[in-house]
Amino acid sequence: MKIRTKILLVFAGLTISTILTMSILVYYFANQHSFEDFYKRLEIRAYLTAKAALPYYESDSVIYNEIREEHLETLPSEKEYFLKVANDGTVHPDEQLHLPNSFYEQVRLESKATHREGNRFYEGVLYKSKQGLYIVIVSAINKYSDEYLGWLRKILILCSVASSVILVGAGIFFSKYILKPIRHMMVQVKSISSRNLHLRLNVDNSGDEINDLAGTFNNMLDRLETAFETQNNFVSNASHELSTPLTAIIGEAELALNKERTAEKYIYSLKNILHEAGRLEHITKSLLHLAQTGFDGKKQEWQQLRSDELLFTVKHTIDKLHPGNKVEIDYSLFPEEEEKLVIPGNEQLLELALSNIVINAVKYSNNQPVSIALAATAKKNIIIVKDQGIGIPPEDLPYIFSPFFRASNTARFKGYGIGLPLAMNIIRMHKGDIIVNSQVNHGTEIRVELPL
Amino acid sequence: MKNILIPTDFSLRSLSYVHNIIAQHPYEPVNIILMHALQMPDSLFDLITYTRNSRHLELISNDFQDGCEIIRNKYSTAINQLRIEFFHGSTRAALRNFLLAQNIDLIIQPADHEYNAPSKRSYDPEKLISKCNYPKMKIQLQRRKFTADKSTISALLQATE
Repeated sequence: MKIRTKILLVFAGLTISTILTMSILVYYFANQHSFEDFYKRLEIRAYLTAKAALPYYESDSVIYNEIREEHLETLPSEKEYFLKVANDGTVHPDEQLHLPNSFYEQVRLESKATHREGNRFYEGVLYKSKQGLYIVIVSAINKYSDEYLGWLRKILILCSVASSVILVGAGIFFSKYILKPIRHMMVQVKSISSRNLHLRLNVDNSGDEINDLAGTFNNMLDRLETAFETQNNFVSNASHELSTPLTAIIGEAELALNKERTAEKYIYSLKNILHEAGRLEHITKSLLHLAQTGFDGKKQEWQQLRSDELLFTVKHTIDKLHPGNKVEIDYSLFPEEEEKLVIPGNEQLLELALSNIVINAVKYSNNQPVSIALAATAKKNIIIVKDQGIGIPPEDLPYIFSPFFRASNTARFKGYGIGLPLAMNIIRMHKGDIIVNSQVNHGTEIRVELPL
Repeated sequence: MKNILIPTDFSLRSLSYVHNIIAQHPYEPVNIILMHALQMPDSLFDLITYTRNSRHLELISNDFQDGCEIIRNKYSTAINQLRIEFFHGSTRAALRNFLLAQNIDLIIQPADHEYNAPSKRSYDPEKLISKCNYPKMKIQLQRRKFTADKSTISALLQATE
């Protein structure tokens, strides 16, 4: 079912049921009251009739009759009965009357009783006169209140129907109005495809939830677009990176083969080919790593590991790769308690990520001092790698984590632009973050945050 | 146990005085109170609605909080307590009351007079502190060669170089 229909149903159901309940209650209470009113009228008549028929003084009878005739119109099919109560308390019922004995009992005990037979109403009162104790019963058909209630019923039904129609109409308009921005947004989103990923939804400044939703969509589109473009660039960059050493290998081989050469020349060529092939292997290996770490991270083994030991291993690795480096571990912020340094993670991957970052720091600073510091907060470990190298131009900062991107000032250095994306992938797998601060020609500070 | 007060502008530089303090109190743990001074509001309405609410807590940056935790972890035996207090007011009497209430034994006076107010109401309590007659200690931080960004945690590192 569409939300529009749901809104309509809920809205109409709620309001219409309220109106119906109200109408029914109005009818019920009016009905109840009209009975009471009619019984009161019958009671007055009963007393008047009794006073007229069984007066204390004969003269009173005339006056009472006069009042009755002048001021009280006869009710439809009004009937009066006088029943004498014997001394022992028994009553002789009239033959025309079909009233239960409990009625007479009630009259005798409470001096007043009511009874109803369909449309006909009975009111009985106990009257004490000179001639003795009498039960006076007046009965009549309640025609007025019947008419009145009929009218009320008609009005209520008419009103309910009319308001239901209005409410359903309003509900249709209401649901349309509420869902208009959503339908509008849907049309906009439908028009965005892979060919026009730069399009965005319109966001006005009203600050309601729909606008938040549009903003969220736009954010998602931003990320999608970036990912899409990275993917596009990735293929072209990767093929370029792979083809450069291949071209060198082919060129070198062709050059060596085009005529007879001395053994030294062949050895030289083969060495060149080997070097380029080694480069090729390095690139493919890194690519493989990048692809593997880009997966969900379920295959890797996770364990609790000490981040300070991680740093020592990284330092060890760097010492092997770049003998004579000036990487130093800064102990100034180490926490006193060892348990603050235990983080969950995959040791190999984290080592790979950190050594990539540190190797970058060594490489782009021409072997100037690099410091690795470790600090622990309550929720995370922070590793700060600081170099005094060439820095990253601010306009390149947003892209340093996209594969094969190389900052504009790195032309003098060899590299493929795989290290940092790989590190970022690994740190993201560990739900951490990398924050980069850099000043061109002064140095770069990379902060790796790993949650405990 | 000594209670030591450091005026702070919620920059990590003000946290790095802790290194010096610890170096000078090697034998017993200390309580460190980071005090941020705020002026009382001028208008009546602001004064009525002036409470200890989250508006002040928002001044504390995440980096500063991380820095506090790092310091706490680093000196977990030397520091008994490290906490942030707001001082509301700008008179000597108010400061005297505050110092009395916090039971302060020593006030740190930064010698370099760097103060970046994090909000409109914040002010540098240096003048007030120099007038009060509590024991004071001036600390001069080493000048740094360069800073990439003042609010990063590496500011804590540089202080110990």
